[in-house]
Amino acid sequence: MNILIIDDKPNLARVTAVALRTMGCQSSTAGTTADATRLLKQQKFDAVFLDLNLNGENGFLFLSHLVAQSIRAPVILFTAHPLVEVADEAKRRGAFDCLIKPFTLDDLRHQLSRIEEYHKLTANKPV
Amino acid sequence: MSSSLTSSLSQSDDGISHDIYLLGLPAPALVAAQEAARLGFPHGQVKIVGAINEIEAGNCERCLVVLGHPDSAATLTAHASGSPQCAVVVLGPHQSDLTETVPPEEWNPPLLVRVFKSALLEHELLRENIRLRGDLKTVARRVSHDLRTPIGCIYTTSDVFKELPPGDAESIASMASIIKESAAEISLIVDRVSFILKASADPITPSRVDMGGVLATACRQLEAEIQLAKAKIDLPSSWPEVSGVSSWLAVVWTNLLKNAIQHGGPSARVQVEWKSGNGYCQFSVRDHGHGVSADHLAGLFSPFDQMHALHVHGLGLSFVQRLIFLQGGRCGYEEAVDGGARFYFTLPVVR
Repeated sequence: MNILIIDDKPNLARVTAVALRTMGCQSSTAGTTADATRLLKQQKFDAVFLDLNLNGENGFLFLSHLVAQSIRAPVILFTAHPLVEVADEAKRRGAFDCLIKPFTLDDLRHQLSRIEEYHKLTANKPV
Repeated sequence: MSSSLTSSLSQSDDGISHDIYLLGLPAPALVAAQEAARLGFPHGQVKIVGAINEIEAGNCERCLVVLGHPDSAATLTAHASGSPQCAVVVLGPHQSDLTETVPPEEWNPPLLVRVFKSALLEHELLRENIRLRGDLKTVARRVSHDLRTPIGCIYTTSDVFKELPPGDAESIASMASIIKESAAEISLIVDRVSFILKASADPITPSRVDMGGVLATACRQLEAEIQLAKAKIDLPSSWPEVSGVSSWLAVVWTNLLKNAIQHGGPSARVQVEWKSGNGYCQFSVRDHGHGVSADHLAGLFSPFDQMHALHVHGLGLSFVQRLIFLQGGRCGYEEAVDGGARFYFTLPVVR
């Protein structure tokens, strides 16, 4: 799988990229929504991991933007706030799921298997 | 009374001046108020103004406004975050629930001195209470958020370590550097926040400062950054005698110089200057970079106690603001005349 990581914290983006590599995934990282938009135009991604608190930018707004663009990749929202309200808002705006920071490799593995399942289901879906 | 307030009030008698604004007073009240100001606040400036908007907003926290009518007080104390912007006393027959009202039979200068000081004390207590509550909120919200990121990095990285192939030296080195950088980030946040809280809760009484020595210390701390950026720092040939706290000022200079080096463009030329007037000295650091864009100006010197509610990154200038405030000064920013940024702060001169 090819994953886009959108996070303004370089170390967290780096460790997520290495974690994904240990699971056989490729990844690209973007520190801003502008970088992310550019990468989304250049490559096909199987999932987007989007940080809720981007530097000066609202992750929710970008999530809505991505969903409005009908991108094929499910969007998983990174958040440090394990609040029901955050999860509800994320779902309402079309997020595939939330991944609470700090996360373990098992959390990540669980998300990847769900993404894989999602792609299998949508690939078999009649157009 | 907290030690910081005791210190702040005793400073006010020794040096830090309170501006006293007189607005709409009848003649006998004006005479009594002016005499009270002369007796009780020899270092303060008395300003007779004709309208509320002539009261300088920037100095509101340390000023006393003496009014002739409580309606003006209502306007002045328009409750920003639930507190009046400055200490207010009304000299007049009209009673007010909002503020201290002194009836005409009590318009004698010695009594007014006590009333004015009491109003300033009450105002400072209120402001301090608001500041302390804001500090707690900032620590609880902003700083816990700031700490969560590096702690989360270490947590996830340690999990990744367990599954890295032993031969993957590149990933191992990358993970090790993440742990080191995250630990350094945590250490920096803890050091800075504990420093600012300690300074606020247990302030040091300002004394005569060897500013040249303080600046030399700051430059030594930034030696690596200065060399890396090939920056040149121009210092004045002499220094004024000001009142402050050397260790706090070292932090202030370090922050301002670091910003100038980072944003001053390649081979940054940074100029440190000072000028004096009205009992204060203004120190400035200017660079020749692009300055601060208009959309970033508002959040530049966000008070530490309001950082919990603001989406502002970086605590450096917020620390500068608090440390200068605790020393009886002000800080600010302006675009330099021929381009670049000019950050400045004021300190009271030694009397």
